Amino acid sequence: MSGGLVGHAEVVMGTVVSFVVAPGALGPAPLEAALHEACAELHRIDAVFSTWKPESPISRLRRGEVTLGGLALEGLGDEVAAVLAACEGARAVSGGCFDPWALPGGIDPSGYVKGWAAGRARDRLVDAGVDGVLVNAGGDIATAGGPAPGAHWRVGVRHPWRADALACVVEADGAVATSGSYERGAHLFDPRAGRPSLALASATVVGPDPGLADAYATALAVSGLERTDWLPTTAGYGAYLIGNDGSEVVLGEVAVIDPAATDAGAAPS
Amino acid sequence: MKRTPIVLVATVAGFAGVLSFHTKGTSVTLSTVGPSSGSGSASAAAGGAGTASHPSSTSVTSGSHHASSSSTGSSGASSSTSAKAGGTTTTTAAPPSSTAHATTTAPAARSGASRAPAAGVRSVTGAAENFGYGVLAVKVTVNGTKITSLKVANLQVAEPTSQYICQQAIPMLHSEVLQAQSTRINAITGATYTSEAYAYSIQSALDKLHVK
Repeated sequence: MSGGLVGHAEVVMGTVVSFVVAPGALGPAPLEAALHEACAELHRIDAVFSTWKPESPISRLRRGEVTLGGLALEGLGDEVAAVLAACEGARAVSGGCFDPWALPGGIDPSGYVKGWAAGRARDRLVDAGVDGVLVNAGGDIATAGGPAPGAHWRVGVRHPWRADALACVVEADGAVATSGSYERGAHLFDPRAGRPSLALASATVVGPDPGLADAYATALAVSGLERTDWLPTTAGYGAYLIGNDGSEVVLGEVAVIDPAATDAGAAPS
Repeated sequence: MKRTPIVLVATVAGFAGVLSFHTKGTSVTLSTVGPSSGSGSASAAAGGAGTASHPSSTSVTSGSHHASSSSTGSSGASSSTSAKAGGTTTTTAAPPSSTAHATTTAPAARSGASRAPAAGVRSVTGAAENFGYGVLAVKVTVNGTKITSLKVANLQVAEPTSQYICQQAIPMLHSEVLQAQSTRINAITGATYTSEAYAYSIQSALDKLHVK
């Protein structure tokens, strides 16, 4: 394949968002413009939805300083309302395991926004006409097309306990997101129990929508292995779960690659 | 379902792996593009396993680790908080084509600044990066343009759990940066804040050292 991939890394949203693009027929200048536009979109979303920024609209909403109606007057209401509606949908589907309203400190849609933002950035490049694009927002991944005609983007799922290993490699078709308790400690909050949760070591969701994949991964990590039947597998979502005891479960359809059968496993140990 | 011991991982390696995997004749830019800064993107070095002769690549070596492909290019992605907020401090906006074919371009010329890498062994500590659960700063030592050592210069973590986790994770991150093996995957999921802070701090240290 002579078509080279183009990479870009952007520091935004408290993380590094990396782009990998198969430009296809798109020339360097329009590609650069599309990347710039996609990054500008990420910065814009961060300015609206960052709960770390006290002046952001979402922070003002959390503090009760403004209502959705008030944000509408500022021209921000529609987008914030749309995100909250999507969060509401994920809350209903997950039986409350994903619940931005139950978190300490007020409404926090971050568990949806990062994946959603990755999808928005991806869409800018798709609109520009690239053959393929992968946007990785700190582990929340949105994809379109593939690295080469007929090929799929491949995403390594980090091993929950071994920082030098992958648990598996999956093919991405739209979105991949992982939630887990490893490294960062008990950062997941169980809205039902009102306390941090450690139900799963790692929950990876693949599916069509990056925001929902992000939210569902968060929800699965909280709901644990006993309660997974809510995952909308018929809507194209699948999951790869690692329990705290190391057990692995696959829900729905997940295209897991056997690295030993491909050159993906060629890395020396 | 297989659990495969691929050596590679976490954001730093994912970051480097993604960059290094694509460097054969392709462009890698690392930049901070503010929402309205108009500063454009600052080009960054793109090292790669297959581009050992890349004049601007930051070859990463250490002891028994084999030299490889960490794309620790530097740029206006200076990791200060203000830069993240959009006030970029980039050097100059390099056109994408010059980045794409940077293998024949001197880094100083490409960056538009008279910042030829100095020779000799130099060390600098990167910006202290907040990763949500604490603050991390990395001291980077270079010899010419090669990273020869990475040390945690500052780690402040409030909770004991995070402290424990960081102690576990950081040595691994060091070896990832120093090895940065190229694996044929396009991204890593399950990344973490700690490793991102680590990457930023290294980046800012390299910026200070003007290693391109």
